[in-house]
Amino acid sequence: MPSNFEPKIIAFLCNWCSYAGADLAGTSRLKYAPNIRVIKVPCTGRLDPLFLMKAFEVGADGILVSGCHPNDCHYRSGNFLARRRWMVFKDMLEYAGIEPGRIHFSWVSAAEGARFVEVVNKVTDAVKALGPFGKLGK
Amino acid sequence: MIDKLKSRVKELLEAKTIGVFIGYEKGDNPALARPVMITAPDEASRLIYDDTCVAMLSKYLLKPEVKALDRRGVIASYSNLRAITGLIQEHQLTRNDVYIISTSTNDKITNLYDEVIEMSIKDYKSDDLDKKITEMMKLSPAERRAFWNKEFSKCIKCYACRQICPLCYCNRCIADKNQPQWIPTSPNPAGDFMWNLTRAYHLAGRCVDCGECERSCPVGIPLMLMNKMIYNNVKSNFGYEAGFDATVPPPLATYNPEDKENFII
Ligand code: SF4
Ligand code: SF4
Repeated sequence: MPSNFEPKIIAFLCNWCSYAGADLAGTSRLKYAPNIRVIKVPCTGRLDPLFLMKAFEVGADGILVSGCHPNDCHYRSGNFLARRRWMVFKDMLEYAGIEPGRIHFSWVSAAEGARFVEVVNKVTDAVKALGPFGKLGK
Repeated sequence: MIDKLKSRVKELLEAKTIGVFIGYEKGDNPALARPVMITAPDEASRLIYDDTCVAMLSKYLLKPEVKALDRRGVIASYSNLRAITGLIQEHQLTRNDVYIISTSTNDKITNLYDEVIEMSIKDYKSDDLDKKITEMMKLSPAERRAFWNKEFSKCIKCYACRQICPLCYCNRCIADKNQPQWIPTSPNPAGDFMWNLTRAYHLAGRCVDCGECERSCPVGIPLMLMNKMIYNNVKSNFGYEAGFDATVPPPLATYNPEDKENFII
């Protein structure tokens, strides 16, 4: 693995909590690993697992999904429903041979700029350690 | 017992209890019976029931032309009963739409049949897969990825697995949508992966473990090796097995605030 490998990480952030948390990190001028490409989604409940597979298909090395903490969801239950899907989905990916370190889930609230930084750095380190994903199906 | 089935179907059609009966008749392929829709009482004599009767009949219950012949009668093996339970649970059928002749009594599926005519056939069993799944998990991720890449790359996108699956009933499948196209339709490596994992995932918590997809796959992809892993996963995460209770929501369509979240960073 090239030591200067910089992973591409797609971060799906929910509009109401994690995206605002990322914003707060920015306005607070906190520094974090520059490897994420953010996609804002209305709610983690809106995330079709297809989106996550597509990210791998188009060249992501890793994925971060982040939403509101349980009981803080703007739509009340979106994150609870999503959590169930992730449980099965991540195990299915692992079984299919995609290392668990490539896909991460977190809760980050709009007030947690510092936590957002911590999460992004942690995910980036994990994906870096795994090296490039290569191509889906290859 | 086949004579009993023939005479019961004749009676049911004569009495207009049902408008059509879905069963099996002898087809061109000696190894595989052909599903048949019987609408005239005299044609009930065509029915057969033996080890070649494996195709899932529940699929036909949803066809518009069959629906039009209300009310639908069907002969249901254990797998078919579970599939029908799933269809009722997902509001594709109501219990009253179907007259079910079960081939066995079953404690786990109560109240789902109208009568029983005991007939045993070789039913699909996925039990031996559990050992293989444990073996799979002992491999490294790279080895598993290589295994599935090799298997999925055989896929010719015929969609037989989808067409046969009793719980795959969308009028327009995500695999057929091209605006935008989430699943590449040509047999290329990425598309093979997207299609096969999407199919398996869409059946998560819904797959009734009937084995039909794998049986139908013309290129022999071990689809049940994937399905059964998900089946077991849903069972251990949510204590749920599909096809036994039509009155509860499917596990991935609901939630429990107390669901475990030890995987969340
Ligand atoms: S075993 Fe295959 S065909 Fe049967 S319900 Fe599950 S996915 Fe569908
Ligand atoms: S039946 Fe087999 S070859 Fe056909 S689409 Fe399904 S997995 Fe692919």
